[in-house]
Amino acid sequence: MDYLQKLEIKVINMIAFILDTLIWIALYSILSLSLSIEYGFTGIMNFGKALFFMIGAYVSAIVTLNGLNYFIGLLFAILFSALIGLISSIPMIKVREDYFAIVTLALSECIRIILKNEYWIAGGPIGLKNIPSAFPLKNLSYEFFLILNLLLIIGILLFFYLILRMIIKSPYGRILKAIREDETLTQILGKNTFEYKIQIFTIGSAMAGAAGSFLSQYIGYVSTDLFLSTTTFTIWIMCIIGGPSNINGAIIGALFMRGIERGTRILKDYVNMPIDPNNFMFIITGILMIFFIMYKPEGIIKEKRMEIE
Amino acid sequence: MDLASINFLQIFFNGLITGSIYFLAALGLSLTYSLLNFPNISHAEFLAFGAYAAYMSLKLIENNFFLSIIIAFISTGFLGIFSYLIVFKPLSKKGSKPMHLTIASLGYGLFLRYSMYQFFGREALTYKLWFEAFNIGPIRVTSLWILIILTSLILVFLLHLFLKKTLIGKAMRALSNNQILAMVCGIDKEKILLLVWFIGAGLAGIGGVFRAGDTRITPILGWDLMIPIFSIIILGGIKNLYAIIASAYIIGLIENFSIILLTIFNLSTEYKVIIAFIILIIILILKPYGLFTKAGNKSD
Repeated sequence: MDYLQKLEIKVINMIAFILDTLIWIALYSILSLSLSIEYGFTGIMNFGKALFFMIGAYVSAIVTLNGLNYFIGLLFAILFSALIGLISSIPMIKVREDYFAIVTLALSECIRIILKNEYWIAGGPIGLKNIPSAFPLKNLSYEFFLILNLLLIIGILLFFYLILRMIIKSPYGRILKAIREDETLTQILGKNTFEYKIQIFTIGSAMAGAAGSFLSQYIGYVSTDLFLSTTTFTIWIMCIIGGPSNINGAIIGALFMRGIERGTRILKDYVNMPIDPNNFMFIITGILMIFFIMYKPEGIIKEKRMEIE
Repeated sequence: MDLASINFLQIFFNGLITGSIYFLAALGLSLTYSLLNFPNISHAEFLAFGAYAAYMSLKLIENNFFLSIIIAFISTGFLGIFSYLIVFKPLSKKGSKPMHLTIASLGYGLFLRYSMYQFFGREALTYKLWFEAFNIGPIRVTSLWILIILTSLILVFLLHLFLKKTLIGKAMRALSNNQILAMVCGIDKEKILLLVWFIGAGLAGIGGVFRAGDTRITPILGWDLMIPIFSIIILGGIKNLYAIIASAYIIGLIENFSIILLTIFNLSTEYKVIIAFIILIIILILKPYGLFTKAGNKSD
């Protein structure tokens, strides 16, 4: 069944609608978490999140379309995004933070343009269609399909959440915070900050790749239009609103922003809005972003104070 | 493809047009970047705003292209001042880090772009003007292209006079060179900043009108130019205005000549954006502080 057809059903079926919403929240939580570890804890300005999200989705789609199991696709997506993250960060990591933001943003757009123009890689602007689902059971009811997907994405989310929690509570995590606060000072203390930043960038890219892999099997198609720079910005706003330096905050942010997105979609069905819901969502997003940076840069959930044993 | 059949003069001329538009678009960004120390990502939306302002003026006031350019300059200039007063001034007053200002500019850009989507719709508009096409020697030109190049040359000359001869211009250069020293000398930073936002955004507005006249008007008109603009800024080293003008024309020419290479290798011409990006990466790796910056002059 096409994703858009399912969407029609969703409006009628409340349970399916709620399940679908939860899946999207969990999906964006992974992306927001990955930005939280990069920006919130280490201070890396990654404006190319959509790139690694896209790489994960495409790699997983290509692997599963070649007849392999979805979970092999997931593994490939994680490894490949991590690899691209590693390769791309090595030359870029030493530049100033504002330059880094510009370069990642430009890199993400460039790779997207290449994928859009090269038909032989992955179908050009049309993208890839009919990507097999992770659960190819026949006679599966739609609700059951959603529940299985929800379990899968929550499993992925929990896996990364626990890894990040471990990182943050370890001495390694304290070095990351030191890099965020004062990179030169950390270097004087004898830490190779570039190495730490490259490692974190790689982990963040791997997480975005996993999220992309899930997306491709869930909606059943990928195209370059799904990974515009606005996707990166949506992830940024989630991270900022929830609280960039707190891993629970990243999830709260995803919940909040998806709530607004779904809210405007429901509102459209009941109220005759004078404004296009998609435009409305982005206008609100932009205003919220400025508002939070101005009055509450630490987000809804503040950074935990470090416990001293 | 036969190399002899390529009209190099034509490509050179096209490069000058692209460079002129880039110069108009990049100059304001470099001014605000050097004074407030953050890349204003919403600058791209100023171009689109200028294009729409000219469209409205053509439609509502008078069907006069010159008038519409001036209206685009003034209205986008005021949008720049408005943006500074509403968003960026309160933030820098609070002592926000450049990182935070960048994120705020991103949010502000989203707000502007989707407001334009809301008011003007998703479909691309055109000015419905007829620009006469004729030949000068081997080069095919239109009156719009002549206008773009002439306007840019005049503006470069005026800017040069303004920065070198007038007191405000000198104050502006002093401020971008060393803020604290300039303020100690009694330069009113706030007044200068307002002027800088007005001129910077206004020039971007004109750039937007020219770009839209050459192509079509869409809310992502400015966003499409973002990669070359940032390449120019980094190539020119942010602070040096003359270097920015030079690198705008360099990138414009390289982009147009790269089309020959792309067609030889049978690649899409959309890749000219990537050429600008590759230049950006090479510069950042080889000369992290810009091509025209002297080695000792690294301090902010």
